[in-house]
Amino acid sequence: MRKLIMIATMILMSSSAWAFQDFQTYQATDKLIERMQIETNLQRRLRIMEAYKNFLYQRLNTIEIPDLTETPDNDPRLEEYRSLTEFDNYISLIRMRQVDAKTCTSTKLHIERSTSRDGGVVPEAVEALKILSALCNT
Amino acid sequence: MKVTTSHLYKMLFLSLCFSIGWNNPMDFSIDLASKDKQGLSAPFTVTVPPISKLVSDKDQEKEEEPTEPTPIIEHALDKIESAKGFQSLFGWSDNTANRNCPSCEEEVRNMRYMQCNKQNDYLESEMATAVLSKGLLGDIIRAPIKTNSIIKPVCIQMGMNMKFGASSKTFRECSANGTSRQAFRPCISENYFKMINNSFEAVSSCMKEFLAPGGSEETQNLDVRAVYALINVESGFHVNARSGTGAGGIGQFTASAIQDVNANELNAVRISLEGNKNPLCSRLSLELLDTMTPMRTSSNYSCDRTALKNGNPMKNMIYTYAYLKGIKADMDMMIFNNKNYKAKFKMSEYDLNKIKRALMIWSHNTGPAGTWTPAKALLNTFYRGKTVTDADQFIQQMQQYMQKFPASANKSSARRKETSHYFPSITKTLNSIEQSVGGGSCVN
Repeated sequence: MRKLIMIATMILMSSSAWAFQDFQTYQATDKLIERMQIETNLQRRLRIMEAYKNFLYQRLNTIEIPDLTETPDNDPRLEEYRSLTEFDNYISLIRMRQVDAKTCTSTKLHIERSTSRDGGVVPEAVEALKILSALCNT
Repeated sequence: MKVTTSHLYKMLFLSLCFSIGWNNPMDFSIDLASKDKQGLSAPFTVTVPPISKLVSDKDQEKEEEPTEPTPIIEHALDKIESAKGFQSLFGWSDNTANRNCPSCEEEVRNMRYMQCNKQNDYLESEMATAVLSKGLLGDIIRAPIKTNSIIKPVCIQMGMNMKFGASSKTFRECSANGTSRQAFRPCISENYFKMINNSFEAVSSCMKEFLAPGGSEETQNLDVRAVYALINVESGFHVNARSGTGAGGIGQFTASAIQDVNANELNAVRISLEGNKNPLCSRLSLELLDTMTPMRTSSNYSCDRTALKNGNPMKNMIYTYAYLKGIKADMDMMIFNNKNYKAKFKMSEYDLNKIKRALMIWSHNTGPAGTWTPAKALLNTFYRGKTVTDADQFIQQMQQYMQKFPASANKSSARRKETSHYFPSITKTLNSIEQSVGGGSCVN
């Protein structure tokens, strides 16, 4: 019985650690990472990154959210939008004129430090760091 | 009236004082940092014997030697030397009148301070030692209270009394070896009040340009008012306040915030302070940032944030301004200078600054992402295809969006509540203080 409770707790904890679930965003993210892995020109990678940022902004301005006054705080639709917005924040922090070890490290630190007041990397930041890693991979 | 011998002596002494121009200490201005380098700008004429009568023959020989030409570029160290007289700490670019507080002088004169007891006098001996020293802290405590300071002294005193009761034990007493123990609220004695009030005035007058470079005096002073309001709620201006989460000192710094300032802001702060025309600012930089180690993040060094010997309270105040500057820069990048959001704000510069200030203060509690997320959710949903024209409405909506769209770190129901109420609570406390001091603003 104790084992079952532990497993259930672990499942619940892991699900709460998920970031957003928006299919279109995940699809675009996978494509972005794929293209970055193929693209060797770093300036072109940055341009692809800018296009991805525009996609995210468009996406956030397309998704409809319910009436806030009648929706409880823990409604999954609010959680989804919240998570996507937070992910967009960390993506916005990836802004470099050139890709090198220095700019990549400082961006990584910036993302990690912005996540919360007391440190610790949140799931949305982890997703953003995956993209940063693809951008910086030479 | 019966005149006794002691009365006659007193009268004789007083007439002697007036004959050489002894004045009210509030008006006594020795401006060692003045640009004309005359040193004294006393409101009376002092007859000084010719220099030849005062020096010996040997000295006279020295006197005749050619002196080195005055350097054209004033070095930071020279500026500091000229700022070392304690009366001159606030002498530079002093306002001539209280624009907003004709009664401030009287209020300062009528200020009453606490009588200390054994439980709350633990900072007194350290301050008494500092007063006798030549260091910056001693100068700060000895300096008279400036009646036309940016924030009215009476507001600072009220803040110190309001946040915690005298019996509150959310304070730490640091020992010489860096360990600390729980303590009562420090005694708000005259020395303690002067230390806090004068430190805030000194740091604010030097850091306001760093926080809002090139901003108008009104904008910069309103920023100082916001920082004042923030500190009121965070620590009640008590140097050794410590929260349950480990945040400590005037600005309630956490380890990550200290790390952030050390890594990203400290060099820029130094450059700004040492480039400031006010010599006091160079002194703050050299004595608090250059000669002392930066604040350390580990909990073993928690006294770095709270103990007087580490340059506090001034150092903690400098870190508070520096942290807010970083937050402000990120907020500009994320929202106000971002091509997608910039055009959404259709309002006066004054109103836009009001929103920026509110988000800056909010971020101190929520962390940077903790404010970006609800702010961007608000702009991308309610203001989708619309413009923001009413600053107050936007700030009010932010409260609801903090509750509905918090960043991951603030998702628990307790944090949702705390973060959404943070700025309104700061505003409420500020309004209550400003009402208590006769209405108007705490800004002079």
